[in-house]
Amino acid sequence: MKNRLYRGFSGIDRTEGPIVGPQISLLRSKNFIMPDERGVLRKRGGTTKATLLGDCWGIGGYQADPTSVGIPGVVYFIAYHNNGGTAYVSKSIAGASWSALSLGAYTSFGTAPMSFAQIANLFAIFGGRPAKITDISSGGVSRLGGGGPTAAPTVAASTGAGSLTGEYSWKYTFYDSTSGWESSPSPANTTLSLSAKNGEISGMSTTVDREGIDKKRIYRTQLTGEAPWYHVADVTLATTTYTDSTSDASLGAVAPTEGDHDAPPSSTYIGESHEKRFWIADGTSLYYSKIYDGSLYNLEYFSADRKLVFNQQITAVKSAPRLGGLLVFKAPGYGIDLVRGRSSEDFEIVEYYPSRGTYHQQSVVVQDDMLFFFDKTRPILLKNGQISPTFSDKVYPIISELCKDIPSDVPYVWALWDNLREQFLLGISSISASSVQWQDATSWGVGVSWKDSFTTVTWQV
Amino acid sequence: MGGRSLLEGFIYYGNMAGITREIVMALDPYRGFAGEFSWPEVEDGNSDERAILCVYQPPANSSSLPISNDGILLGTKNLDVVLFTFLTGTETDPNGSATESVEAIAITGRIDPTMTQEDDIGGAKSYHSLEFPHLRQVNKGLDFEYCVEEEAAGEGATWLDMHYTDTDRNFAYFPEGIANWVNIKIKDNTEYVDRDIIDGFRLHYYELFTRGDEAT
Repeated sequence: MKNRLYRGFSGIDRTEGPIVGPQISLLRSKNFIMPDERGVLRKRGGTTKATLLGDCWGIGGYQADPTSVGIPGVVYFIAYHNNGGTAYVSKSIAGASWSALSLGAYTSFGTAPMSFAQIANLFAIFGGRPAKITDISSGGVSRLGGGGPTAAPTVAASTGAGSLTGEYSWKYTFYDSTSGWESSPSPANTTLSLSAKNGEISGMSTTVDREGIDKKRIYRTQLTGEAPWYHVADVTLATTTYTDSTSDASLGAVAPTEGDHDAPPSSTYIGESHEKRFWIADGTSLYYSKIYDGSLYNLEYFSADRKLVFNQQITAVKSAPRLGGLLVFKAPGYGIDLVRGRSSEDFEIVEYYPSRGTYHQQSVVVQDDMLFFFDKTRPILLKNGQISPTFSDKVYPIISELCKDIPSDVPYVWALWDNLREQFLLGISSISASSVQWQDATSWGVGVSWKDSFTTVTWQV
Repeated sequence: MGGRSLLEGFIYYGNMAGITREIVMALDPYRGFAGEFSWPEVEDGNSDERAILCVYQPPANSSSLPISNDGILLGTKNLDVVLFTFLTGTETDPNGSATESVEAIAITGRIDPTMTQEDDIGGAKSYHSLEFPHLRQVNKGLDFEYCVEEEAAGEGATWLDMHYTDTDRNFAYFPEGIANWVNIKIKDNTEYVDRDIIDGFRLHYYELFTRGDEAT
C-alpha cells in the first residue's frame, strides 16, 4: 500500500485538477479559519447576541480618557439604530447590554450606513445631520455645529441723549457660554449715523437650531463704521433688545469672521478625522473644520472658505498618514485622490490611483501600507499604491464571479482589519427588491432559480 | 470541473422579493481567500431580509473587554440584535432557545496522489484511509465524508461517510474507495476551543494500474 503525506492547507483554490502534495487546496472553508501560514485550520469562535432594537446602521467606539496611569481608557461602544422610524444612539461597555442616549432636539438621522470619528473628547456621528457626543458618561447626543442669525439686527438712534457720535454698524451671534461655541455673526445692519445718541437694538432672534445656546453676543464697529466688529455685551437668548452706549475704548474682542463658524453640510454619511480636523463630504465638496487646538468648539466650525472641490461626487474618505494624507474616493472608474498638507495654506489634491473607486465608505480600510476597499465588483488591495499580485491571482477569480451581478440598489458592504488573525474581513449583503432580478453569470440577462451550491436547496422563480 | 467555484450558488437568484444574499469572507493579504463565515441568525439566502450592515472591532487595548475576548460586533438588519463573534472563550452559537456549536466545514479540492495538477486524471485507485499525524483527530470530534469523481462543491455531489474504529481513532477509512480521485469534507460541530483543529493527513491507497494500462 502506498501513501502520501499532505502537510497543510493552502487555502481556497479554484484551480482544477489533482492535488500534488504536500499541501491540500480547499474548495470551501466555512467557519474554519486559516489564522497563519502554517496551513492549519482553526474554528472560528462562538457568538452571543445582545438586544438592540431595529436596524443597526453603524457601530463605533468612544475612547474615554484613562483614569489611571498605565490603565487603558474604557471604550464605549456606540451604535446607531432605527426601529420603525425612531432613531436611537445607544452605548454599551462590553456590549452585553445597551442603553439609549438622549437625542438633542436638533439632531436628525437617516437610515443608511454611516461613519464615525473622534478627536479628543468629541465623538462625531455622520449619519444625516452631523451630530456629536462630548460627555459619554452622562451626556447625550447633540447637533454638531449650528447656524447663526440670518437677519441683521434693527438699530435706531435713541430718543434721548446718548454717548455715541459717529458711524456705527452692529452684528450679533448665538453663544453657548458653557462650551464656548459661537455661531457665525449675523449680517450687519446698514451703517447708522449717531450724534450724541445711543444705539437702540431690536429684532434679535430668540430661536436657534442647536442645543445648549443660552446667550447672544452683540458686536459693533468703532465710530468709523469700518470693520472689524468688536464685542459690546452678552445678553440672554430670550432678550430681543439692547441699548448700546459703550465707548470705543471699552469694546472687547473682535467678532468671528463672517461665515467662519458655519454649520457643516446638513446631511452627510461621509466623515473622517484627519490632521486634527473633521472632514465632511457633500457632493463634490469636501469641507474641513478648524483645527483642534485644545478647544473642542473649533471642530464644529465650517466655512465655504475651508473646502476642497473634486471633479466627481465623493463616495468615501479615509485618513491615511502613512500613505501620504487623506484619501478621497469617487465612484468606481473615477479614481482615488489624496489630500496632502497639514494646514489650509498647503492642502493640495493629487491623484492617488486612477480608475478605481468605491460606492461603500464602510468598505475602506487602511492598515500599515495597505489600502483595501470594495470596487464595483471586487475587493481591491493596494500595497504601497500598487495592486497586490496575491489578490490578482488568488482572490479575483473567485470574487469577480461572485460579485459580477450584485444589484446596485441595496448592497451593504463593510470591511475591517482583524487584528487577531491579521486578515481583512469583507461582508456583502444584498436584499432583493421585487422588481430586481439577479442574473445568471453565464447567461447574461436570463433570470434563473436561486440555488445554494452547498445545500442544493432551490427556490423556483 | 473539480474546481467549480465554492460560491457559485451566490450568483444565481430568482426575482423573489426579500431574499438576502449574505456572505462574510476572510481575505489574507499574503495568501488570498482564507475562508467564509456564516451565522444561523443571518444565513445566506434567507427570506427574512436579515443582513449584517456594519461591523466594529474594539482596540486591542480596550479595557471594556477582557484580553481573552477579542470580539467583533456586528450590527444587523431585521434581527433586533447586535452579534458578538470571534470570542476566544467557549461561547456557542445561539439558535432559538437552544445553544448550538458552530458548524465548520472544509471541502478539499481533488486529491489524487499519483498526478500533478497539470496532468490528466491518473487512473483508478483504491483509496484506503486517512491517517492523522496528530493523534485523535477523530476523537477531537471531527467528522469526515468523501465523494468520488464529482464536482465536490457543486450541486448533486454524493457525500459518503467515512468509517472509524474504536481503537484506531487516528484513522478514517473509505468504505468504497475505488476512484480516480476523491474530495474530502471535514466537519466540526464541537464546542469552540482555542487550538488548531487539523493541519493535514497521510493518505493510504492502492494503485490499481500502471499508467498506460487499462484500469482494473
